[in-house]
Amino acid sequence: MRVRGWVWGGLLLAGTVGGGALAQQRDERAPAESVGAELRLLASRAGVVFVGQVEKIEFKDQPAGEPGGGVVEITFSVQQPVLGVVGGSYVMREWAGRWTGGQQHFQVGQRAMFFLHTPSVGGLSSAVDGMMGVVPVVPMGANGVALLDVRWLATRVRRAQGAPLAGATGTSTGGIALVDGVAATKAWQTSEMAEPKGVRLPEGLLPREGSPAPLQGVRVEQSLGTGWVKEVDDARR
Amino acid sequence: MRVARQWGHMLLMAGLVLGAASAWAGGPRFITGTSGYPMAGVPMAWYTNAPMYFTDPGNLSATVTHAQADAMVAAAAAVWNIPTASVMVTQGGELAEHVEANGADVNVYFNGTAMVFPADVQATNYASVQIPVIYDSDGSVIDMLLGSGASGPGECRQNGVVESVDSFGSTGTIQHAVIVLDGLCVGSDPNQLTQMQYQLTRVFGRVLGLAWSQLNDNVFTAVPQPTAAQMALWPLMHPIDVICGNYSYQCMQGPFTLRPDDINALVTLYPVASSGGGKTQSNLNSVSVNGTVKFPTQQGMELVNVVAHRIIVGQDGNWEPNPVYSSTTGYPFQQNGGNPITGVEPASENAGAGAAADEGVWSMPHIAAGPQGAYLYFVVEPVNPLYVGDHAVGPYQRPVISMSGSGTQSGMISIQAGASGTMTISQSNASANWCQNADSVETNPPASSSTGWWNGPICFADYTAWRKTAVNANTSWTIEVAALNEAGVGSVQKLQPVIGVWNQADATGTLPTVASQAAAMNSMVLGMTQLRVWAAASASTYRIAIADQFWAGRPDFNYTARILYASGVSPATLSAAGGLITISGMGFQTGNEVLIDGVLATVQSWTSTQIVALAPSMTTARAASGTAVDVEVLDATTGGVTDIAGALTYNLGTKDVVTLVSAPASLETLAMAATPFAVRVYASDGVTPAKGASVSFVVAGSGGGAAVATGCGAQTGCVLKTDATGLASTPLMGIAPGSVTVSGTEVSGGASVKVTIADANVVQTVTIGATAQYLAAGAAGSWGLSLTAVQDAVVAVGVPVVWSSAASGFTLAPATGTTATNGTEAVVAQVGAIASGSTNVVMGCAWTSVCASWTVYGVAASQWMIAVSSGGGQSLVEGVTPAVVTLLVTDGAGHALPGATVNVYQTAYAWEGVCAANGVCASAPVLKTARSTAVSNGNGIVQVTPMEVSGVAQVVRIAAATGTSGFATTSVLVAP
Repeated sequence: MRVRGWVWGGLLLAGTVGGGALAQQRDERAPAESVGAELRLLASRAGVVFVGQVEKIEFKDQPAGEPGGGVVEITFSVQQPVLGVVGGSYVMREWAGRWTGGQQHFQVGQRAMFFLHTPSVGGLSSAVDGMMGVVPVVPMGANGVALLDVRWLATRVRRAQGAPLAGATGTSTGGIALVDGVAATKAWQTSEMAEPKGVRLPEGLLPREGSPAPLQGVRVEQSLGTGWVKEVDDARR
Repeated sequence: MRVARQWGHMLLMAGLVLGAASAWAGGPRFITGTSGYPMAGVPMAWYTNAPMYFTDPGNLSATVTHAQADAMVAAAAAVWNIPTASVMVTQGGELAEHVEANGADVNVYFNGTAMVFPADVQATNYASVQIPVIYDSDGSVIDMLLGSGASGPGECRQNGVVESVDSFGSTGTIQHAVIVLDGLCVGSDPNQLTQMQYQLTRVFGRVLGLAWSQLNDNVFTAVPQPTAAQMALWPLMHPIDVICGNYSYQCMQGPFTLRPDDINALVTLYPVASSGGGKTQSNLNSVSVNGTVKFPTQQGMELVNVVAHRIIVGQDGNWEPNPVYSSTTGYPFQQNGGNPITGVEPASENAGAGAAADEGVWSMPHIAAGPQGAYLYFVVEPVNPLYVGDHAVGPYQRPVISMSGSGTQSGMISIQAGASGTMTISQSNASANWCQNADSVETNPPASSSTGWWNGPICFADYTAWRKTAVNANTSWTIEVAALNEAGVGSVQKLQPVIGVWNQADATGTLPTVASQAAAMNSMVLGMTQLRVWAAASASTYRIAIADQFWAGRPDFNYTARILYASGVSPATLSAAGGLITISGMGFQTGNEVLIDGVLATVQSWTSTQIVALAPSMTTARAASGTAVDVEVLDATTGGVTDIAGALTYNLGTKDVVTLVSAPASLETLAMAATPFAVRVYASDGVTPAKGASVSFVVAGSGGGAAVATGCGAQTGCVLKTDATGLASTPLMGIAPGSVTVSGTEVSGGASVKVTIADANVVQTVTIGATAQYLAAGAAGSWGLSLTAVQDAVVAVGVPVVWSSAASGFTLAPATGTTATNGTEAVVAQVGAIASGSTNVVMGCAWTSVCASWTVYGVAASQWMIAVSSGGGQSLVEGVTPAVVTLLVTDGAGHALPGATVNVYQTAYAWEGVCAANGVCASAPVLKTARSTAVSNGNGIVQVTPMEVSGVAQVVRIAAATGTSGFATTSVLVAP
């Protein structure tokens, strides 16, 4: 199904925009009509898009008594630039207020297609649309076609109450080919773009209830290995 | 009651425990950790029951005034002010300034290291201002915090209301939170302000310390279709909105109404101990239940959702059709325990307690029940895998773990109002895997599997699996750990494996000293963590650790581990032409590639410990003579690599190169092998055939074996010249069983190849089908004989046969021959007059010495016996022709005897009738006599035709004599 990149009609924000020409602009509040459209919306709001991996997370300069006052530096390895970035590494500085109380926005080793805001005048940034701007990449082996896990993006697609999530049924469950996602993202300004074809995510990602006969082993006492005992902050980092 | 008839009670009320909320509340967002708090695993609530918010004095936007915004904020906060919860969120006043990051009065900025807020907004001011609410009228504050454009209308659903709980007290309380409202998200459309109010209501829930909650999740997934009743119970604190249009508040019923599940979570954190001041004691008309979900091993199962079904006693007595409350298990348990590979978890991730008892804990401390209490049962369900990170249903840091076993429904519990109960749910069909103690001790790990592959579980929290392995110098190797689900498929929803490597001799209890992979799932294979360990200058034994990244462990955390390691290459030197090499090691599998100096070799076979490959020529490998090159084994499926530096050397030198072309797989004694022994000689470049080169072939036996090179004139060696293609060859023939070593050596340079071949005796047999014969002495005989030659159970064709006999007077024709296509060769043996009492043997031999014999005996006349075989004692009437009388001549042992002369005497007497009973019988007159002679035929038979005198009744007496004592008589009666 071909989806128009621009939706005509809809409401405008009075007082923020005006003019007859703008009456034909897309209503920016309108949800996407498809996963592909959601990718393009993310791209339209992002300053930087790339496929990469989180290499390092460092908490910086946290003021005493204000764990949310500092910044968190996230270093990415850029494996495939898409928009606004070349290869190599990319460092994003995020407001530490998003990381308080044990909340983890990113994990070291996380592999995804990252849609990031252009840094603010203060140099801070974040993923577009919260963690929707972090679209997990699913490795499919050295010779396989990597996928994008678009299940979270599907939650942003318009659906009636009681209607299932986009791509939640049938054979196309949860994924699209990474190459298709990158192409759709790069072409976000194109007025017409074919919807990326849905692909079923591998079994190891999809929930699986129940279990077969469990493995059997030899029962032993539950005790910690004696060779390593967890210390409270002994600075082993 | 109807309920009692439907169910048997599984548990009765567990005693009256008045309603102070248990230490474990349901659905907390924040949990104290082991560092900096008096007790770990405690849900965190505000330090005061009356946290106050202070609003920005400015307008929210060009169309929403400060007053309108204040009213909206008040309405959102008021949702959480309920009688049964002690907390009251009210406005304490206004901030001292309009907070802005743009314009002339900037008071929010980033100073290069930290965000700077106005003093009254800062967390250090929590005692005076607990919750500043910033009206970001131009979006500049949000842009400053989250990046350029983050405040735009397109991100209002996410960033329209931004919050941060940014200060916690040392006793485990919430002290401060900041809320920023995006003015760009509200305009003249009243829906926009309503949408912001909806989002702010949920944010207040988060600020108060509530986690997201999963209950009646099919309202979100629409699988199955949700009912109106389920929509009514879908928590306000659901993790992800349904997006049915521009405004998500329109996509749920009662977007500003707390559901029972929301209230349960709120009251858990803020219970009312006793009624008064507009508050109602929380446990009046409510019951409290907590419990554990367990594996069959009795270990708690975290990260599953428990939902409660209810009957309020005194109401209609029916179970409510949909679950009303929920709790996710393990919320007080350590979220990241650190591990031996990464060390102690960062302070930012320190949450929860490490007590095993907390691992499967769930709690619903405030279930509305009515004055008479309630009946309850509980169902275990999996957590939606989308509920991670910002959408996590609790203080969880790891990816959602897929549930082990089937969703279990508990028995029923009945509890009186104000009382509490406990429910332990053993998850049916869950993994019951136990750990092997042998790999849990760092100081004495077991050796890795000899094949390089092994399976194992990480079956309880804080478990680390240890192994050791020895690795040669100059060799890189790869460790891979694949997390498996219970179907044995690679999964990202179970164990999150991390790997560490130490030198075995290094101190224990330290971080990895050699290599580590501290983040799980880094490989290109789903569910696999991979670590490449670089080569060391010396051989070493290494200690390997495998653990969960969050140091969790459960019976359903299984893995397959593999060490891909090449330990050696043989031979270490090849000619410039290349050749077969054998790579030893572990962790190999079918499809692995071999690269010689980066050039693919042709792999011929794989086992887990050995790969045989055909190395390319030196030229193809772009190698230099005498310079060692690397040999690498690559698993293209996983990307795993093992590399031996300098494992192989091509040797060009100045010598010609000799390669083996063919050799028989085995030899047979006295049999020519079908495959010759052939070598090809190249010039020193390994490519140009050497024509006319002299090749010395030598055949040497060992252990009794021997063979000859028939190309050398059946000698054990000679020198032959190569042809234009550089080929020289000789057929081989085994001489004696045993091992034989055959070599071909280029004479001038000495390059040589040799093979060892086993020689085995052939199995040859010769048979003559005829049985022994007997012949009357003096008789002549002629017999046709056939010999059959068989080699290794197959008829032998074309084999020379020789007949012979030492018997006197015997002739054999033909005396020699060759076996036909059926393996046979015939001869005619003759004798003119066989000697009396002689034993005459005829020999037929194939292959010179494989023989069979046939014997004919000359029977002396004294041994000839004769007997009437048939036709004796006939009784006839005149006119009937008598039958032939058959006589059989045999030797004394009953063998038919051909060639015996038999004299036959016949006398015909007149028939005198029956002799009188008394008196003398009349003597019969002789009518006729005859005498004849016959010779017994090949069957020892002589036939006698009885003579007749026609027209007269008579008795013919027949007497036969043979040899010196053989005699037989019979008579034929012809009656009238």
